[in-house]
Amino acid sequence: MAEVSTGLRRSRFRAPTWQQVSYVLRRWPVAPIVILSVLVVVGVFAPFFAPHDPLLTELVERNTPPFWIGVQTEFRLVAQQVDKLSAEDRHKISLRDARKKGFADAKVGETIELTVRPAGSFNHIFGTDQTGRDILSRAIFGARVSLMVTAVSLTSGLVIGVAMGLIAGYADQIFPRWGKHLDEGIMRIVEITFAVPTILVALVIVIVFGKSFIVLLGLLAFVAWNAFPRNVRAEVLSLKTTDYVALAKISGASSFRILFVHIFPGVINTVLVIATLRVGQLILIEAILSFLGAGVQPPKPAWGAMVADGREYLGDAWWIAFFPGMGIFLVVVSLNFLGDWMRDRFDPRLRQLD
Amino acid sequence: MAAADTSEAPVLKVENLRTYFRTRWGEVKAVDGVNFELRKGETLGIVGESGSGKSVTMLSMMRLIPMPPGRIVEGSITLDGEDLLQLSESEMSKIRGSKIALIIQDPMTSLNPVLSIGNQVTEAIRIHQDIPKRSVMEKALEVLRKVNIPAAESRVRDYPHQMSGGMRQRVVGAIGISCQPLVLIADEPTTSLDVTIQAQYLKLLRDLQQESGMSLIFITHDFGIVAKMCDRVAVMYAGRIVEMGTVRDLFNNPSHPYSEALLASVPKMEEDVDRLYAIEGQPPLLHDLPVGCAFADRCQYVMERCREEYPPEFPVAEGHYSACWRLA
Repeated sequence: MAEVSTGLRRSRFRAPTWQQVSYVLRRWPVAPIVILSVLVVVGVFAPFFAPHDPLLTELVERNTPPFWIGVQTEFRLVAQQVDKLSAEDRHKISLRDARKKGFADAKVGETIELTVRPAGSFNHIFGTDQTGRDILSRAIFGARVSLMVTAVSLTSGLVIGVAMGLIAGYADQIFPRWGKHLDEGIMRIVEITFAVPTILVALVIVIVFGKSFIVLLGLLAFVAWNAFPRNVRAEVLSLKTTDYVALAKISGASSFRILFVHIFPGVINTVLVIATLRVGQLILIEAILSFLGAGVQPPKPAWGAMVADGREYLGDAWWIAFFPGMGIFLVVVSLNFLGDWMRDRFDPRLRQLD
Repeated sequence: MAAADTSEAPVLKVENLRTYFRTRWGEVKAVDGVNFELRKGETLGIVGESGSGKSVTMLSMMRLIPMPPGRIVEGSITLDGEDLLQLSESEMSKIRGSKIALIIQDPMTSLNPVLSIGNQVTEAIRIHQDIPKRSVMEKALEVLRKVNIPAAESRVRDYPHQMSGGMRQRVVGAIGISCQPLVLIADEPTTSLDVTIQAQYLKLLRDLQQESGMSLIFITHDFGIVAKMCDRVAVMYAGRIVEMGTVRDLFNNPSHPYSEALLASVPKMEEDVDRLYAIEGQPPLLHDLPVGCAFADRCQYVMERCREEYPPEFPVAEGHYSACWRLA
């Protein structure tokens, strides 16, 4: 065996053309999927990704800026006496203070270069907050809260909401005598919940029942469920008049069988789209409640609470509020884009289009 | 199409069936006293204009009239010795699909787009028969082969949008026959198919009927189909059967003016006419039926008596009767 044809071994891989890349980017929501996957992976494996303990306070390191920001210094004139409240004396520093800051040989009349803020470092990529806690680590653990809210509240809200919608839409078939009233009843309840000012009521409930994560999840589940019944019911109303439901009836299928085998699969598309759009709102409401102090309790990190903490320091240390705020923004926008894309994708009239 | 055995008791007997609908214009008498019998292996054609009550009669037999606004006022429907109108809803759903089945008009919309063909074909079997899960697929294949679906093995996993109209109609037919019903009602099963597919489908139905001995009720507008498929015909007008008889009798000797007019309005190939024949006037409003014969206003032989009293059934020949005062 001397020579083996190398032609067979040639790799089949060819670099994609620009057209192919742009086609994929246009057709699939690449950026939202990437952002949301990062959120999920990082949130689930938070202890693995977080470089520091999110609760550890290191006062020496407090208010460290993100890594790319250099040291900030100011020139001060050393004076014997400084009136700290006077605007004229702002560029001056008293001899005592100068000595305290490490300029042991400072003399009156000299100008010294004072470090106002240390430089950022890769030790704290996104900097630290006012008590010296690592912002990146807190943001990563905060993602967990958002995930938890989504998983628990949305799932329970979805199950309740979809079940209500299915029952409301099909009640007149299951209970011919009084099904209409059941439908009416469910829809009125849904309409009443639309009229409830969620955040106000949430604050009251937190005051009455105390602050706890369970109460928060319950509140958010209550926010989540009412988006579903109306749309699901509308869908059921149109699906139950289709010929294939009639055919199932002709075949002797029971009402429950028709509802779950024939109608429910047709509703899933709508439910998915609503759920995706709802997740964004839930994360937002959780953040608002945490911001208002009714949500996740300190020192546990949550994005909304982090923004609230950083609010006071926006002038000097913008990064405390910026990174968790950016997290909320990216996730909510991604979810909205994804929901929009799914709505177009699942719409049979648009499905054939490019 | 073998001549039905007349000695046996009928499989299905409909007596004095009346189905009314409450509307804002008053009570619509969609079916107003329908009587007929169906023997084992027999094919009955039901013809009539749109709105003459053909489909409502069939839906009443399936107990699928939406109530309200509809209600079955009186009558009895005896299938295999049981009065369907006396059964509870759950007892009735055991009969639907297993003893009496219906093929509905439009094959394009009567299959569920999200379920596979195999799944839908076996639905009735899974509901009515207790068969192990693993043999469901075999059963589906068996049924699909019966209706001549080519490559049934791969088609069971297909979805409705992957099939043509003719195929889908055969699948719908397969659903109808899957539990070997005693009576199969075909409500204009071929109206949305093109003629070659129609012919194939009709032949298929006939073969299936011969094989299983089920009785067939054919609702149609098409006299060609009636002549080819049916043993007997019932002509419906304004919710009643106005004439009933064997296909040969009724086609050769239509004794009700309405049947006569219907047959006259079928274009004939050998005649060259400028204008096709049409029955003058409109069918009566079903919520405001006249006291006498409902056809009187459009009838060329109308007599005074026709407007005063509804005509009883007059025998014309053996098994052929007609509700017209001319025969009195």
